[in-house]
Amino acid sequence: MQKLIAARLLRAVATLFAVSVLTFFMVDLLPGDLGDILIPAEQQNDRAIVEQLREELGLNDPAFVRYGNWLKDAVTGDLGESAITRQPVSTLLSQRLPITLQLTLFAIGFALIFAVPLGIISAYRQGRFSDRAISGGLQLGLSIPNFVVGVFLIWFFAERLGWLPATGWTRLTESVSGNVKGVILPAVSLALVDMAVFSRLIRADMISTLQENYVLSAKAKGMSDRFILARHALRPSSLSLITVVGLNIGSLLGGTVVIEQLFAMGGIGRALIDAITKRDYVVIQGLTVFIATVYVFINMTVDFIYIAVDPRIRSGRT
Amino acid sequence: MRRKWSKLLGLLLVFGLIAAACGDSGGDDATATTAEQGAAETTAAPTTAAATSTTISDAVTSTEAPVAGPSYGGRVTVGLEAEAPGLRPWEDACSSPCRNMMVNIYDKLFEISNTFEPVGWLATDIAPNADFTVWVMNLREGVQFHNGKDFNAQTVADMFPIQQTGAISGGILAAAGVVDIQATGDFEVTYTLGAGNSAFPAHLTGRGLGTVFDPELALSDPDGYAQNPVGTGPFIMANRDIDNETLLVRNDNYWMTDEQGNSLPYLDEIAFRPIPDEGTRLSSLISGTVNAMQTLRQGTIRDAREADGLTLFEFQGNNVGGGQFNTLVPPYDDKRVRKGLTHLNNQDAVIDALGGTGISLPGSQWFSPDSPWYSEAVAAAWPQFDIPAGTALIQEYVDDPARSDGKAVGESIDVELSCPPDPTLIAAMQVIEAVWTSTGLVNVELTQFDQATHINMSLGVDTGFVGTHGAHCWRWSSDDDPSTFLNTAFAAPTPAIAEEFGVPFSAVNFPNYWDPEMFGWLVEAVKTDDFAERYALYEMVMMRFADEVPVWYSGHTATAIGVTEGIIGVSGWVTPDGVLGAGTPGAEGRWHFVQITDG
Repeated sequence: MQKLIAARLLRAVATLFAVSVLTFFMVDLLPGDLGDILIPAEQQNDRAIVEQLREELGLNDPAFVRYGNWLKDAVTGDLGESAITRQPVSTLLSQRLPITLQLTLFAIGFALIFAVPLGIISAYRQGRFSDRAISGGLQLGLSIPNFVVGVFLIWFFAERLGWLPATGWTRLTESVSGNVKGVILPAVSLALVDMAVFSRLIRADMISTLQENYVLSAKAKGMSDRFILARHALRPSSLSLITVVGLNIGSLLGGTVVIEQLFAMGGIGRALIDAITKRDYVVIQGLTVFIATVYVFINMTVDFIYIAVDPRIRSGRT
Repeated sequence: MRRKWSKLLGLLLVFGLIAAACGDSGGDDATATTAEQGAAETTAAPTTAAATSTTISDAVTSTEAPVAGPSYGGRVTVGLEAEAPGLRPWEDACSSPCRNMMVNIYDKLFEISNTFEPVGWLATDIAPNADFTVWVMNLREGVQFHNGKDFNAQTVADMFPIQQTGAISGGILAAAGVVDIQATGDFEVTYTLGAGNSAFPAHLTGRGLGTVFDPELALSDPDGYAQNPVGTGPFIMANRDIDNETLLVRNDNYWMTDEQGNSLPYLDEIAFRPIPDEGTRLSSLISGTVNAMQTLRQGTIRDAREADGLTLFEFQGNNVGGGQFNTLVPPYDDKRVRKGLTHLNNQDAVIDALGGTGISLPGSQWFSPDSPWYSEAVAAAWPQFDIPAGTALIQEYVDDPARSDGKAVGESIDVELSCPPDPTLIAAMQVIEAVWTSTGLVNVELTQFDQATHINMSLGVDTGFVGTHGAHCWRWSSDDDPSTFLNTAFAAPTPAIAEEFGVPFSAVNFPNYWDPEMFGWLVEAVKTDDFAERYALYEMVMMRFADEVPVWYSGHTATAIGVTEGIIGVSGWVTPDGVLGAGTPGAEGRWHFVQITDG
């Protein structure tokens, strides 16, 4: 057991190291550097100023030296600071994470609210019109890019009905209702794909659960279908859903880039895009490693849960 | 466990329903308070109402009707196309969105009038010596920074060493030729230049040299200044939430009044929200999520014109789009290729692809027809869309045994046509590609790079500033004096050429076009302040462009500020001396004259 946990931890550290190395050197391959961004082309005549800045930022050092310097600080928890805004990456994260986290949780929440009942109905009515209609609808949802959904929602709910703001994010401390109103449209845009995935997962698991003897036995006892679905079938059919929800939270944290850009929300995704376009290496590095860490952590947690609940994994038989 | 799960789902559902049910029209609460306060505080002072326009003069004089008087209070939320990374005028790179913030926090020494002349703002006047090497400027008295410090001549002198080392202002000081700035009186500043420059005051309208900041604070806390700037301007930084909202509040001690003596600004607050997507920025305005927005895209202007309830302040200006040839690289080093490809540029179709039909004027030079520097002669000389003429020129090159690209006679030329990955820009490049390839003489490779890479490829630090570009889409010019951009844009393009000719090197000569005679005209143009002489010299420069074609044009870049109903005074601002300002160049709003009325 301890060996297994140690192996998982080691794999997580190796993954994070690989992510940080790849990110750093891939960004380094891009033409131009921070010196070219901080000093606009119009001012580049004065090479002395450019060189002085490059020296100050350490851009004249070889890439592996710069990476080493970053890594040395990062392992002590210091992710450095933006060369453009001079804001520490940790501060940036503390400001941006609540936005992306809230967006992610609302998206998952909306997805579950609709996915669970639809999945249950679809499984219960397997092969009938309602099942085919739900599956068709979900297939459609799965095939529409979330930014297209977002554009439609903005047009309908903001422009036409005027119910919700088209863009922006209000901090909870400023206005609770403003905060919630601002997050609904982007969260629904993100939720559509997850809703389709979750629903199909529930449907598949529940169809197999409904074949179990204890369900048939409950039916034989005269229990109502609704009671059986809710009390006996849903829980065992939700295990794989919980795993996927967990993993999707991780991937959504790094996958809200387009929606944050579309809805003008200053979350982690938008900060990452800004940093990439401005070649703000330290911020790119810090945010990427953070997102990777969250993802790896969630994966690892799922692994540990499996280890805890599945004796076959514990004993190394799988 | 089940109960918790149900609670969580229920809570999310309730939140959503409540939010949806409580939704109003989506507008900010600013407009509601303004009408009431305005009614209570109305005076007889006339001001101006907004109207749609396509030229500067239309925007600020012809089509604005007088309204009842200043209406104090309220908040305007402005949607910008990007965030401002930092707000230090001497240090931080700053484009149109950032300038929208800066111009409301800081005052400049001079501003640009609606006739493109520098006019006093914090400065009252400026006068040169005979050879334009020494300029004496007088400053306005009674001006204070947001932190209560007095502004005087020593402030400007103390800004100088910071500006010299500033990433932005250092280069501008060098381009302007400033070697010394002294306080020669309490409110008198003397600039000494290394060489005579008759257009020097134009540099004082710019951000790098003309924007006034607190030098003491800039020295003690340069990093903090980036996000908490202190100026003498009409609004004070209240809250900076990067990528969400920057809130400015009214400077109650602002020195400037309107022509009737009413204190400025009228608004209580301005909030700036970066909304990068053009479509959702416009949707935000239409839905009332914001009540003003800026755009530099013709397609957005077109869509905004079709929306109900918006007022649009359009500005044509001197900014012209098109492309540049790398004239040091084959086959673009041959005039026949450049001119041939330019003849094959269907300007109307390109403008249409950009969404600018009926909005953008086709370009033939760096100046729009509104500009005093515009030349009809140059417009007539510019190579027009003419497929036979263009094909003939390229055919001549292709059949030339001494062709510069080293290919065999008869082989098509290879052209890399590149632009950042914006949908309308790509559409425009595809129009050009279609015509060029239709000749059967041009192989076009369309490439896309992000903005930073696009610029760096043209800058070409690693290639001795030759660059790795071929035919690159680009924009040029501004409403400043032509010398402020042309003299640097066409100095020696590489250090080697600069050394050979004993002239200044310019990293921003992106087409790498070097013409010693033409550069001489540019130098000559800052030795005199006689407009006719200067006009003739710039006309010669533009005529040379029409002949040598280092660049090609699509159309002038129309920009706009759009506002919802009841917001007035956006373009009708005046200087402290009552001179009409330039309106909204580059979608840059000066919000100290803006007020909210009930219509």
